[in-house]
Formats: sequence, structure tokens, C-alpha cells
Amino acid sequence: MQEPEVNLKDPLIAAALAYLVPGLGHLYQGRLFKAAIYSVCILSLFGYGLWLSGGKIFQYRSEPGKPRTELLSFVAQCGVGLPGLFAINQGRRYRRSGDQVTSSLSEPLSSSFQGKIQVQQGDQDIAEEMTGTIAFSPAVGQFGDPTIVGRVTGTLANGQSVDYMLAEGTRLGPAVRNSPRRMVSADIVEEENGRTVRIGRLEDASIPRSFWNWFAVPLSHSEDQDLHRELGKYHELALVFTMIAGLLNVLAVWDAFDGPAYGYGLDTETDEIPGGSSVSAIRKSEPEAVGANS
Amino acid sequence: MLTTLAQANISWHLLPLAVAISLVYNSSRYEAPARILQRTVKHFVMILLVLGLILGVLVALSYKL
Repeated sequence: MQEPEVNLKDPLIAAALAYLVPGLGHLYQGRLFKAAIYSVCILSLFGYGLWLSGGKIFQYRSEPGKPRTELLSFVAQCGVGLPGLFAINQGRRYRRSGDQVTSSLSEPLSSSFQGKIQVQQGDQDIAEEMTGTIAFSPAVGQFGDPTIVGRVTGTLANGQSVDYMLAEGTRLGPAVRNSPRRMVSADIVEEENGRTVRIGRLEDASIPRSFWNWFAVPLSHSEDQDLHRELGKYHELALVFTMIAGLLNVLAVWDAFDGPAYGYGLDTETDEIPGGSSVSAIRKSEPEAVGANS
Repeated sequence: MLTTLAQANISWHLLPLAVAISLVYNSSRYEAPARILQRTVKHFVMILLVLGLILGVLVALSYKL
């Protein structure tokens, strides 16, 4: 085996690091220039592709009975390392949790809130955008089934402060889904002479979904079609950027593992070599070039 | 800058893409920074020329269509 022209340290560790985070393997080997090139180029391409698609282009969707061709783009994207592994895990979480709305909670949940309320109180009709906070708590319904109740407080678009109680049967969107907002569906009620009376409902209401519960989560078929419609040709562009980023990292991983194709100081292929000698011959015949950078 | 690029004609995306591909490809082949940069410029120009040539052929083929 030829001597490497650079000090690769432990090539396996370097390759693993280079796969996980582009440039990290080269940083480990002390090849700072290359670490900068790989990390900036690969992560920029990948990040730009994600940004173009609002983070929705990157997903591991493997459904039984569906064609596996959809996985090909993911295989290319997966070359970028940690995000690929994260996406595989998100795909598994999505399949486990399914597309079920949440109609019961194990513990109270409080969050910021935005949406629209429609309330009728006496002669007053309110239909306004609202922002504020919403608190959900687990409860037992009138038939003994677990349900969710809550309270929403905040400010209407006209500046009026409001505080409403949410009825039993409040529902939340799926916990894991590819959207940074989680839908809330609830009726608004108030106590009147010891009775609970429905006075309105929340519309287009949502709470933020945590990054871990939406990023790289697979889109459903209809969501994917909506994304195509929304992005048009930028869907393919985003896909190309993220796929090329992943494929370029394969070159970076191999460079971390085996060094460059033409080593330090051996900066010609065959065009500058008298008599057309092969590079491998030069590498073997010029051991003084070995370690020049180490 | 990202917004400007995204709003521009889609063809402009070729430039950063070609730069990144040239840089990474040549980084995987050479070790000396000067050589990497020199070869990157060469490859970048080559990519643009080849794509320009293809564009020229397509324009010629579709002339008066």
C-alpha cells in the first residue's frame, strides 16, 4: 500500500466524522482549508435547498406497497450525514404515531397561540384574529372517556383582551407532522347558571410544533402534492440542491478516508508528466513528497 | 442575498452550484490550496462553456420553430 501524502490519522474515524458532519473529518485530520471548503459548500447547498422548500423537501418516506423510487432522492440526500440519520428516525416516529389527531393528553400543555375566534355573546358577534396563550389539561368526559379541556387568553386584533374557556372534546393535530404549526379545534363555552353553554369556536387556530416534531417528518401524499403545487419548479430545484450536497459529501468522505487522488505536491495528472508516466508510478518513485504536509 | 437568488431567474442557480461542485470535486483530487483553487476556476469555466455550448445547440435547433 502506498504511503499517504497527508497525515490521515485514523482514516475510519475521519471518514465517519466526515460523513456525519461535512468537513469535520478533515478538521480532525488538521486539513483546515479542505474542512472549510467541504463544510461551507456542502452545508450551503443543503441548507439552501431546505430553505427553498421551507424544510419540507427532506424526508424518509417508506410506505409498504408504495414504489421505492421515491427513496432514491433520499439516498442521495442521506450522504450529508447526521440530517439523513435524523430523517430516518423521523420517518419511523411518523409511522408509529400515524396521522391521528390528539383527543386526550397525559399531562397539561401550555403554549402560545394564534388563530381566529368566532363568538356570539348576547347581541355581540366577535369574529377576530387573536394571539395569546392557550392551556390544555386532561379531563374525563361526561361518558367517562378521556378528553381535553382548556382556556385561551390573549388579545384580539382590535386590542381587546379576552379570556375564554374551551369545551370538552378539544382536539389537537397529530403530534408528529411536517408542519411547524399544530392545528387546534375547539368550541368556546361559558358557564351560565351552572350550565356550560357553547358560545363560539376557534377557527384556523394553531400552536407551534416543536422543531423535533416537524423537521424531516415525511409528508403525506396529499401534502406532497400541495408542496408541488406551491413550489412549482422550485420543488425540483430544492431537490437537486439537497441531492447534490449529499453526493458531494461522498467525495469528501472518501478524501478523508484515503486522501486526495493526487497527493500534496503531486499536482499533475498525466499532462505535465514527461513520457506520460502514471501518477501512481510517480507517487511510488517520489517518496520525498510523502508527509510534506504532515 | 438568498431571497434575491430565489427570486431571480432559476438559471442563475447554476453559478453557485457550479462553484460548489468544482470546489468540492477538486478538493477531493488535490491537497495544495493553490492547486485546488486554480483547478476550480478551470472546471468552473469548463462547466459554463459546455452548458453554453449545449444551450447554443438547442437554440440553433429550435430556430424559427
